[in-house]
Amino acid sequence: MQTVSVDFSKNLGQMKPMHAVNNGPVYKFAEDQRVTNIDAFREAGIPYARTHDASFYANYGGEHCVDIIAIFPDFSKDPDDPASYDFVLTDEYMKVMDFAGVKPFYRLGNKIEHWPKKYGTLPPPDFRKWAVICEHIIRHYTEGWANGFHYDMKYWEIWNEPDLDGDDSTHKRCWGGTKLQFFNLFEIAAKHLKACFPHLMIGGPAICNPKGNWKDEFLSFCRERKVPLDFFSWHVYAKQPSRVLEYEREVRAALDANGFTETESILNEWNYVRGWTGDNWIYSLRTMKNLKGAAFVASTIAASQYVPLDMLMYYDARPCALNGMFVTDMVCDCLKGYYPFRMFNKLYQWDRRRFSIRRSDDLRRRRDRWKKRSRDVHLLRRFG
Amino acid sequence: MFTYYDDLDEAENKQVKLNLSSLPDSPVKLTVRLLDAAHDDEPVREEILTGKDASVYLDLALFTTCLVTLEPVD
Repeated sequence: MQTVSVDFSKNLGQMKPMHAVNNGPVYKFAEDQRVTNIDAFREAGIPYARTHDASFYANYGGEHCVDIIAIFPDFSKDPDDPASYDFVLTDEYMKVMDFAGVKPFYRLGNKIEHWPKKYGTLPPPDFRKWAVICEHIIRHYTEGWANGFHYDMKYWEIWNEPDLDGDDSTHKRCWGGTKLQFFNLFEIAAKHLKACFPHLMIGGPAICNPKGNWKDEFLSFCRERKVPLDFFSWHVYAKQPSRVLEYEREVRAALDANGFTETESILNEWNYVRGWTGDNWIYSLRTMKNLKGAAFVASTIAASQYVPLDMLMYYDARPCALNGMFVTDMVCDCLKGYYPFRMFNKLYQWDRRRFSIRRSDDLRRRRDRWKKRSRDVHLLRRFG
Repeated sequence: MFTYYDDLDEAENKQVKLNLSSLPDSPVKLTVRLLDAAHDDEPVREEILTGKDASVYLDLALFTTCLVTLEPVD
Protein backbone atom coordinates (compact mmCIF):
# COMPACT_ATOMS: atom_id res chain seq x y z
CA MET A 1 0.00 0.00 0.00
CA GLN A 2 1.15 3.52 -0.73
CA THR A 3 0.47 6.43 1.58
CA VAL A 4 -0.14 10.06 0.77
CA SER A 5 -0.22 12.67 3.53
CA VAL A 6 -1.86 16.04 3.08
CA ASP A 7 -1.45 18.91 5.54
CA PHE A 8 -4.10 21.56 5.09
CA SER A 9 -2.24 24.08 7.23
CA LYS A 10 0.36 24.54 4.48
CA ASN A 11 -0.02 26.95 1.60
CA LEU A 12 2.17 26.12 -1.33
CA GLY A 13 1.00 28.46 -4.04
CA GLN A 14 -1.07 28.49 -7.18
CA MET A 15 -1.90 25.82 -9.68
CA LYS A 16 -0.22 26.07 -13.06
CA PRO A 17 -2.12 25.84 -16.38
CA MET A 18 -1.43 22.22 -17.22
CA HIS A 19 -4.70 21.73 -19.11
CA ALA A 20 -4.05 23.97 -22.12
CA VAL A 21 -4.34 22.40 -25.56
CA ASN A 22 -3.59 22.85 -29.21
CA ASN A 23 -6.56 24.33 -31.05
CA GLY A 24 -9.93 25.52 -29.95
CA PRO A 25 -13.49 24.30 -29.89
CA VAL A 26 -15.51 23.35 -32.93
CA TYR A 27 -18.42 25.77 -33.25
CA LYS A 28 -20.16 27.91 -35.81
CA PHE A 29 -22.35 30.87 -35.08
CA ALA A 30 -24.93 29.84 -37.69
CA GLU A 31 -27.19 27.25 -36.11
CA ASP A 32 -27.68 24.98 -39.12
CA GLN A 33 -25.70 21.73 -39.14
CA ARG A 34 -23.87 22.74 -35.99
CA VAL A 35 -22.00 19.98 -34.16
CA THR A 36 -20.02 21.48 -31.33
CA ASN A 37 -17.89 20.75 -28.30
CA ILE A 38 -17.89 24.31 -27.01
CA ASP A 39 -19.67 23.44 -23.76
CA ALA A 40 -17.13 20.73 -23.06
CA PHE A 41 -14.35 23.27 -23.57
CA ARG A 42 -16.04 25.61 -21.12
CA GLU A 43 -16.59 22.88 -18.52
CA ALA A 44 -12.93 21.89 -18.74
CA GLY A 45 -11.91 25.54 -18.40
CA ILE A 46 -9.29 25.17 -21.10
CA PRO A 47 -7.14 28.25 -20.43
CA TYR A 48 -5.17 28.51 -23.68
CA ALA A 49 -5.42 26.98 -27.14
CA ARG A 50 -2.43 27.06 -29.47
CA THR A 51 -3.33 27.71 -33.08
CA HIS A 52 -0.72 25.47 -34.73
CA ASP A 53 -2.08 23.16 -37.47
CA ALA A 54 -5.50 24.82 -37.30
CA SER A 55 -5.44 25.20 -41.07
CA PHE A 56 -5.73 21.43 -41.48
CA TYR A 57 -9.31 21.62 -40.28
CA ALA A 58 -12.04 22.98 -42.52
CA ASN A 59 -14.38 24.04 -39.72
CA TYR A 60 -11.75 26.40 -38.29
CA GLY A 61 -11.29 27.98 -41.73
CA GLY A 62 -8.99 25.47 -43.39
CA GLU A 63 -6.40 26.84 -45.78
CA HIS A 64 -7.67 30.37 -45.18
CA CYS A 65 -6.93 30.69 -41.48
CA VAL A 66 -4.11 31.38 -39.02
CA ASP A 67 -1.04 30.70 -41.18
CA ILE A 68 0.86 33.74 -42.42
CA ILE A 69 0.44 32.78 -46.07
CA ALA A 70 -3.32 32.59 -45.49
CA ILE A 71 -3.62 35.99 -43.84
CA PHE A 72 -1.04 37.70 -46.09
CA PRO A 73 -1.33 35.67 -49.30
CA ASP A 74 0.70 37.93 -51.62
CA PHE A 75 4.10 38.67 -50.13
CA SER A 76 4.73 41.45 -52.64
CA LYS A 77 1.93 43.58 -51.16
CA ASP A 78 2.31 46.52 -48.77
CA PRO A 79 2.32 45.23 -45.15
CA ASP A 80 0.99 48.57 -43.88
CA ASP A 81 -2.10 48.37 -46.08
CA PRO A 82 -5.10 46.60 -44.49
CA ALA A 83 -6.19 45.54 -47.98
CA SER A 84 -3.16 43.24 -48.18
CA TYR A 85 -4.60 41.03 -45.43
CA ASP A 86 -7.35 38.42 -45.36
CA PHE A 87 -8.40 38.13 -41.74
CA VAL A 88 -11.95 36.90 -42.27
CA LEU A 89 -11.79 33.22 -41.32
CA THR A 90 -9.09 33.69 -38.69
CA ASP A 91 -11.34 36.33 -37.12
CA GLU A 92 -14.11 33.77 -37.00
CA TYR A 93 -11.84 31.22 -35.30
CA MET A 94 -10.69 33.78 -32.72
CA LYS A 95 -14.32 34.74 -32.07
CA VAL A 96 -15.16 31.11 -31.35
CA MET A 97 -12.28 30.87 -28.88
CA ASP A 98 -13.41 34.08 -27.22
CA PHE A 99 -16.98 32.76 -27.05
CA ALA A 100 -15.67 29.66 -25.30
CA GLY A 101 -13.54 31.63 -22.85
CA VAL A 102 -10.31 30.18 -24.26
CA LYS A 103 -7.32 32.46 -24.82
CA PRO A 104 -5.51 31.92 -28.13
CA PHE A 105 -1.81 31.10 -28.02
CA TYR A 106 -0.98 32.26 -31.53
CA ARG A 107 1.64 30.48 -33.64
CA LEU A 108 3.10 32.83 -36.25
CA GLY A 109 4.23 30.62 -39.12
CA ASN A 110 2.73 27.68 -40.92
CA LYS A 111 1.34 24.21 -40.38
CA ILE A 112 3.60 21.26 -41.00
CA GLU A 113 3.84 20.30 -44.69
CA HIS A 114 4.23 16.56 -45.18
CA TRP A 115 3.77 16.77 -48.95
CA PRO A 116 6.53 17.03 -51.59
CA LYS A 117 5.86 20.65 -52.61
CA LYS A 118 6.27 23.25 -49.88
CA TYR A 119 4.40 26.52 -49.51
CA GLY A 120 4.26 28.22 -46.13
CA THR A 121 7.26 26.46 -44.58
CA LEU A 122 9.70 28.00 -47.05
CA PRO A 123 11.79 30.84 -45.65
CA PRO A 124 10.04 34.18 -46.20
CA PRO A 125 11.65 36.21 -49.01
CA ASP A 126 12.32 39.13 -46.64
CA PHE A 127 12.65 38.44 -42.90
CA ARG A 128 12.15 42.06 -41.89
CA LYS A 129 8.97 42.33 -43.93
CA TRP A 130 7.75 39.06 -42.44
CA ALA A 131 8.23 40.54 -38.95
CA VAL A 132 6.25 43.63 -39.95
CA ILE A 133 3.44 41.41 -41.25
CA CYS A 134 3.39 39.60 -37.90
CA GLU A 135 3.32 42.97 -36.14
CA HIS A 136 0.18 43.91 -38.04
CA ILE A 137 -1.49 40.61 -37.26
CA ILE A 138 -0.85 41.24 -33.56
CA ARG A 139 -2.14 44.78 -33.87
CA HIS A 140 -5.27 43.46 -35.59
CA TYR A 141 -6.10 41.11 -32.73
CA THR A 142 -4.94 43.15 -29.76
CA GLU A 143 -5.22 46.82 -30.81
CA GLY A 144 -8.11 46.85 -33.26
CA TRP A 145 -6.00 47.60 -36.36
CA ALA A 146 -7.80 47.01 -39.69
CA ASN A 147 -11.24 46.69 -38.14
CA GLY A 148 -9.85 44.26 -35.62
CA PHE A 149 -10.21 43.34 -31.96
CA HIS A 150 -8.90 44.09 -28.51
CA TYR A 151 -8.50 40.51 -27.37
CA ASP A 152 -6.36 39.50 -24.43
CA MET A 153 -3.88 37.50 -26.52
CA LYS A 154 -0.68 37.35 -24.53
CA TYR A 155 1.39 34.65 -26.22
CA TRP A 156 2.84 35.01 -29.74
CA GLU A 157 5.03 32.18 -30.90
CA ILE A 158 7.52 32.44 -33.77
CA TRP A 159 7.40 29.36 -35.99
CA ASN A 160 7.05 25.65 -35.25
CA GLU A 161 9.58 22.81 -35.17
CA PRO A 162 12.34 24.41 -37.27
CA ASP A 163 14.62 21.61 -36.03
CA LEU A 164 12.47 18.75 -37.35
CA ASP A 165 14.70 18.10 -40.38
CA GLY A 166 18.41 18.79 -40.73
CA ASP A 167 20.09 21.25 -43.07
CA ASP A 168 20.94 18.47 -45.54
CA SER A 169 17.41 17.04 -45.67
CA THR A 170 15.63 16.98 -49.01
CA HIS A 171 12.25 16.89 -47.28
CA LYS A 172 12.04 19.76 -44.82
CA ARG A 173 8.57 19.69 -43.38
CA CYS A 174 8.53 22.71 -41.08
CA TRP A 175 11.43 24.99 -42.08
CA GLY A 176 12.75 24.98 -45.62
CA GLY A 177 15.93 26.89 -44.88
CA THR A 178 19.05 26.19 -42.87
CA LYS A 179 19.44 26.35 -39.12
CA LEU A 180 21.37 29.60 -39.31
CA GLN A 181 18.75 31.12 -41.58
CA PHE A 182 16.14 30.29 -39.00
CA PHE A 183 18.19 31.80 -36.19
CA ASN A 184 18.39 34.95 -38.29
CA LEU A 185 14.62 35.01 -38.86
CA PHE A 186 13.96 34.47 -35.18
CA GLU A 187 16.32 37.26 -34.14
CA ILE A 188 14.79 39.76 -36.54
CA ALA A 189 11.21 38.84 -35.68
CA ALA A 190 11.67 38.59 -31.91
CA LYS A 191 13.51 41.89 -31.64
CA HIS A 192 10.98 43.68 -33.81
CA LEU A 193 7.91 42.26 -32.09
CA LYS A 194 9.26 42.76 -28.58
CA ALA A 195 10.10 46.39 -29.43
CA CYS A 196 6.55 46.90 -30.70
CA PHE A 197 4.84 44.98 -27.90
CA PRO A 198 6.92 45.01 -24.72
CA HIS A 199 3.85 43.97 -22.72
CA LEU A 200 3.27 40.74 -24.70
CA MET A 201 5.03 37.37 -24.47
CA ILE A 202 7.14 36.85 -27.59
CA GLY A 203 8.89 33.51 -27.90
CA GLY A 204 9.22 30.17 -29.62
CA PRO A 205 10.32 28.27 -31.59
CA ALA A 206 8.47 25.07 -30.61
CA ILE A 207 11.38 22.69 -31.14
CA CYS A 208 10.68 18.99 -31.46
CA ASN A 209 13.98 17.63 -30.16
CA PRO A 210 14.66 19.11 -26.73
CA LYS A 211 17.64 16.81 -26.18
CA GLY A 212 19.55 17.76 -29.30
CA ASN A 213 22.36 20.22 -30.01
CA TRP A 214 19.96 22.40 -31.98
CA LYS A 215 18.38 23.63 -28.74
CA ASP A 216 21.75 24.44 -27.16
CA GLU A 217 22.95 26.28 -30.24
CA PHE A 218 19.70 28.24 -30.41
CA LEU A 219 19.88 29.29 -26.77
CA SER A 220 23.55 30.25 -27.11
CA PHE A 221 22.70 32.29 -30.17
CA CYS A 222 19.89 34.10 -28.35
CA ARG A 223 22.15 34.78 -25.38
CA GLU A 224 25.03 36.10 -27.47
CA ARG A 225 22.81 38.19 -29.75
CA LYS A 226 20.62 39.40 -26.88
CA VAL A 227 17.49 38.07 -28.55
CA PRO A 228 14.43 38.50 -26.31
CA LEU A 229 12.89 35.20 -25.29
CA ASP A 230 9.85 35.56 -23.06
CA PHE A 231 9.06 31.88 -23.44
CA PHE A 232 10.80 28.87 -24.89
CA SER A 233 8.45 26.32 -26.42
CA TRP A 234 9.23 22.70 -27.15
CA HIS A 235 7.63 19.30 -27.79
CA VAL A 236 7.88 15.73 -26.58
CA TYR A 237 5.92 12.55 -27.24
CA ALA A 238 6.52 9.60 -24.94
CA LYS A 239 5.04 6.45 -23.44
CA GLN A 240 5.96 7.22 -19.84
CA PRO A 241 5.17 10.45 -18.00
CA SER A 242 8.54 10.12 -16.27
CA ARG A 243 10.19 10.67 -19.64
CA VAL A 244 8.21 13.86 -20.12
CA LEU A 245 9.26 15.08 -16.68
CA GLU A 246 12.88 14.33 -17.47
CA TYR A 247 12.71 16.63 -20.48
CA GLU A 248 10.89 19.28 -18.48
CA ARG A 249 13.79 19.41 -16.01
CA GLU A 250 16.44 19.38 -18.73
CA VAL A 251 14.90 22.24 -20.67
CA ARG A 252 14.61 24.35 -17.54
CA ALA A 253 18.25 23.65 -16.71
CA ALA A 254 19.34 24.62 -20.24
CA LEU A 255 17.41 27.88 -20.06
CA ASP A 256 18.92 28.72 -16.69
CA ALA A 257 22.42 27.82 -17.86
CA ASN A 258 22.08 30.32 -20.67
CA GLY A 259 20.84 33.06 -18.39
CA PHE A 260 17.20 32.78 -19.37
CA THR A 261 16.06 32.36 -15.78
CA GLU A 262 12.89 34.39 -16.30
CA THR A 263 11.98 32.74 -19.60
CA GLU A 264 8.92 30.53 -19.33
CA SER A 265 9.32 26.91 -20.35
CA ILE A 266 6.23 25.82 -22.27
CA LEU A 267 5.73 22.25 -23.45
CA ASN A 268 3.22 22.90 -26.19
CA GLU A 269 2.93 19.57 -27.95
CA TRP A 270 2.76 16.31 -26.05
CA ASN A 271 0.83 13.06 -26.13
CA TYR A 272 1.28 9.31 -25.79
CA VAL A 273 3.55 7.83 -28.48
CA ARG A 274 5.17 4.41 -28.18
CA GLY A 275 6.69 4.67 -31.67
CA TRP A 276 6.24 6.60 -34.90
CA THR A 277 6.18 3.69 -37.36
CA GLY A 278 4.37 0.42 -38.02
CA ASP A 279 2.44 -1.31 -35.27
CA ASN A 280 3.80 1.00 -32.59
CA TRP A 281 2.29 4.01 -34.35
CA ILE A 282 -1.09 2.32 -34.73
CA TYR A 283 -0.95 1.26 -31.09
CA SER A 284 -0.14 4.85 -30.12
CA LEU A 285 -3.08 6.29 -32.03
CA ARG A 286 -5.46 3.75 -30.48
CA THR A 287 -4.06 4.43 -27.02
CA MET A 288 -4.56 8.18 -27.36
CA LYS A 289 -8.28 7.53 -27.72
CA ASN A 290 -8.79 5.01 -24.92
CA LEU A 291 -8.66 4.79 -21.11
CA LYS A 292 -4.93 4.13 -21.06
CA GLY A 293 -4.37 7.33 -23.02
CA ALA A 294 -6.56 9.17 -20.54
CA ALA A 295 -4.46 7.86 -17.65
CA PHE A 296 -1.31 9.00 -19.46
CA VAL A 297 -2.82 12.46 -19.80
CA ALA A 298 -3.92 12.61 -16.16
CA SER A 299 -0.60 11.35 -14.94
CA THR A 300 1.44 13.81 -17.01
CA ILE A 301 -0.74 16.75 -16.01
CA ALA A 302 -0.53 15.82 -12.35
CA ALA A 303 3.18 15.09 -12.22
CA SER A 304 4.12 18.21 -14.19
CA GLN A 305 2.89 20.31 -11.29
CA TYR A 306 6.03 19.29 -9.43
CA VAL A 307 8.64 20.24 -11.99
CA PRO A 308 9.77 23.62 -13.27
CA LEU A 309 7.42 23.90 -16.20
CA ASP A 310 5.11 26.86 -16.81
CA MET A 311 2.47 25.43 -19.15
CA LEU A 312 1.43 22.17 -20.78
CA MET A 313 -0.46 22.22 -24.08
CA TYR A 314 -1.85 18.89 -25.22
CA TYR A 315 -1.69 17.97 -28.93
CA ASP A 316 -4.36 18.05 -30.20
CA ALA A 317 -7.93 19.18 -29.48
CA ARG A 318 -8.47 19.65 -33.23
CA PRO A 319 -10.49 16.79 -34.70
CA CYS A 320 -7.73 14.49 -35.94
CA ALA A 321 -6.00 11.18 -35.27
CA LEU A 322 -4.09 12.56 -32.28
CA ASN A 323 -7.17 13.93 -30.54
CA GLY A 324 -7.97 11.78 -27.50
CA MET A 325 -10.53 14.26 -26.15
CA PHE A 326 -13.37 14.18 -28.68
CA VAL A 327 -14.81 11.82 -31.27
CA THR A 328 -13.46 13.13 -34.58
CA ASP A 329 -16.68 13.00 -36.58
CA MET A 330 -18.99 13.78 -33.67
CA VAL A 331 -17.08 16.30 -31.60
CA CYS A 332 -20.06 16.65 -29.28
CA ASP A 333 -19.12 13.21 -27.91
CA CYS A 334 -16.26 13.15 -25.41
CA LEU A 335 -13.64 10.43 -25.27
CA LYS A 336 -12.03 9.22 -22.02
CA GLY A 337 -9.11 11.56 -22.59
CA TYR A 338 -11.32 14.61 -22.19
CA TYR A 339 -12.12 13.96 -18.54
CA PRO A 340 -8.65 14.49 -17.00
CA PHE A 341 -8.80 18.04 -18.33
CA ARG A 342 -12.17 18.61 -16.67
CA MET A 343 -11.03 16.98 -13.42
CA PHE A 344 -7.85 19.01 -13.32
CA ASN A 345 -9.84 22.17 -13.94
CA LYS A 346 -11.66 21.65 -10.64
CA LEU A 347 -8.30 21.88 -8.91
CA TYR A 348 -7.20 24.77 -11.09
CA GLN A 349 -10.31 26.75 -10.25
CA TRP A 350 -9.81 26.06 -6.55
CA ASP A 351 -6.28 27.33 -6.47
CA ARG A 352 -7.04 29.61 -3.59
CA ARG A 353 -7.51 26.51 -1.49
CA ARG A 354 -3.93 25.55 -0.99
CA PHE A 355 -2.57 22.24 0.08
CA SER A 356 0.64 20.67 1.12
CA ILE A 357 1.58 17.11 0.35
CA ARG A 358 4.01 14.85 2.12
CA ARG A 359 4.79 11.49 0.67
CA SER A 360 7.91 9.71 -0.44
CA ASP A 361 11.45 11.09 -0.22
CA ASP A 362 11.46 11.32 -3.98
CA LEU A 363 8.44 13.55 -3.94
CA ARG A 364 9.87 15.71 -1.18
CA ARG A 365 13.08 16.20 -3.15
CA ARG A 366 11.09 17.11 -6.20
CA ARG A 367 9.02 19.56 -4.22
CA ASP A 368 12.08 21.12 -2.63
CA ARG A 369 13.73 21.66 -5.97
CA TRP A 370 10.57 23.25 -7.18
CA LYS A 371 10.29 25.51 -4.14
CA LYS A 372 13.85 26.65 -4.64
CA ARG A 373 12.79 27.94 -8.01
CA SER A 374 10.01 29.92 -6.28
CA ARG A 375 7.46 27.88 -8.13
CA ASP A 376 4.40 26.10 -6.77
CA VAL A 377 3.45 22.69 -5.47
CA HIS A 378 0.00 21.22 -5.42
CA LEU A 379 -2.02 18.29 -4.31
CA LEU A 380 -1.59 15.96 -7.21
CA ARG A 381 0.01 12.59 -7.43
CA ARG A 382 0.27 9.72 -9.82
CA PHE A 383 1.09 6.13 -9.09
CA GLY A 384 2.80 3.52 -11.13
CA MET B 1 -6.07 13.87 -8.37
CA PHE B 2 -4.69 10.33 -8.41
CA THR B 3 -3.81 8.27 -11.44
CA TYR B 4 -2.58 4.74 -11.79
CA TYR B 5 -0.62 4.58 -15.05
CA ASP B 6 1.96 2.24 -16.45
CA ASP B 7 2.86 1.43 -20.05
CA LEU B 8 2.08 -2.18 -19.26
CA ASP B 9 -1.37 -3.26 -20.34
CA GLU B 10 -1.96 -5.39 -17.27
CA ALA B 11 -1.09 -4.79 -13.65
CA GLU B 12 -2.53 -5.53 -10.23
CA ASN B 13 -4.79 -3.04 -8.48
CA LYS B 14 -3.24 -0.71 -5.95
CA GLN B 15 -4.51 0.58 -2.66
CA VAL B 16 -3.65 4.07 -1.48
CA LYS B 17 -4.00 5.40 2.05
CA LEU B 18 -4.71 9.11 2.14
CA ASN B 19 -3.82 10.76 5.46
CA LEU B 20 -5.42 14.17 5.94
CA SER B 21 -4.27 16.52 8.70
CA SER B 22 -5.14 20.03 9.92
CA LEU B 23 -8.69 19.71 8.69
CA PRO B 24 -11.15 22.45 9.73
CA ASP B 25 -12.96 22.21 13.05
CA SER B 26 -16.31 21.90 11.30
CA PRO B 27 -17.23 18.73 9.37
CA VAL B 28 -16.24 18.43 5.71
CA LYS B 29 -17.70 16.34 2.93
CA LEU B 30 -15.28 14.16 1.04
CA THR B 31 -16.21 13.23 -2.53
CA VAL B 32 -14.39 10.79 -4.77
CA ARG B 33 -14.96 11.24 -8.50
CA LEU B 34 -13.83 8.41 -10.75
CA LEU B 35 -12.65 8.04 -14.34
CA ASP B 36 -12.46 4.41 -15.40
CA ALA B 37 -14.01 2.10 -17.99
CA ALA B 38 -17.46 2.54 -16.46
CA HIS B 39 -17.33 6.13 -15.12
CA ASP B 40 -16.61 9.46 -16.74
CA ASP B 41 -15.57 11.78 -13.92
CA GLU B 42 -18.57 10.72 -11.83
CA PRO B 43 -18.96 10.83 -8.04
CA VAL B 44 -18.78 7.29 -6.67
CA ARG B 45 -18.32 7.92 -2.97
CA GLU B 46 -19.18 10.55 -0.38
CA GLU B 47 -18.56 10.67 3.33
CA ILE B 48 -18.49 13.22 6.12
CA LEU B 49 -15.20 13.69 7.94
CA THR B 50 -14.98 15.16 11.43
CA GLY B 51 -11.97 15.99 13.53
CA LYS B 52 -8.57 17.43 12.67
CA ASP B 53 -7.19 14.24 11.12
CA ALA B 54 -8.63 11.49 8.96
CA SER B 55 -7.57 8.61 6.75
CA VAL B 56 -9.21 7.46 3.55
CA TYR B 57 -8.47 4.33 1.52
CA LEU B 58 -8.68 4.32 -2.26
CA ASP B 59 -8.58 1.26 -4.51
CA LEU B 60 -7.15 2.01 -7.91
CA ALA B 61 -7.29 -0.29 -10.92
CA LEU B 62 -4.78 0.22 -13.71
CA PHE B 63 -5.53 3.31 -15.81
CA THR B 64 -8.06 4.78 -13.42
CA THR B 65 -8.01 8.38 -12.29
CA CYS B 66 -9.81 9.75 -9.27
CA LEU B 67 -10.34 13.23 -7.97
CA VAL B 68 -10.80 13.64 -4.24
CA THR B 69 -12.45 16.85 -3.10
CA LEU B 70 -13.27 18.24 0.33
CA GLU B 71 -15.96 20.85 0.94
CA PRO B 72 -17.53 22.37 4.04
CA VAL B 73 -20.79 20.74 5.05
CA ASP B 74 -23.67 23.21 4.66
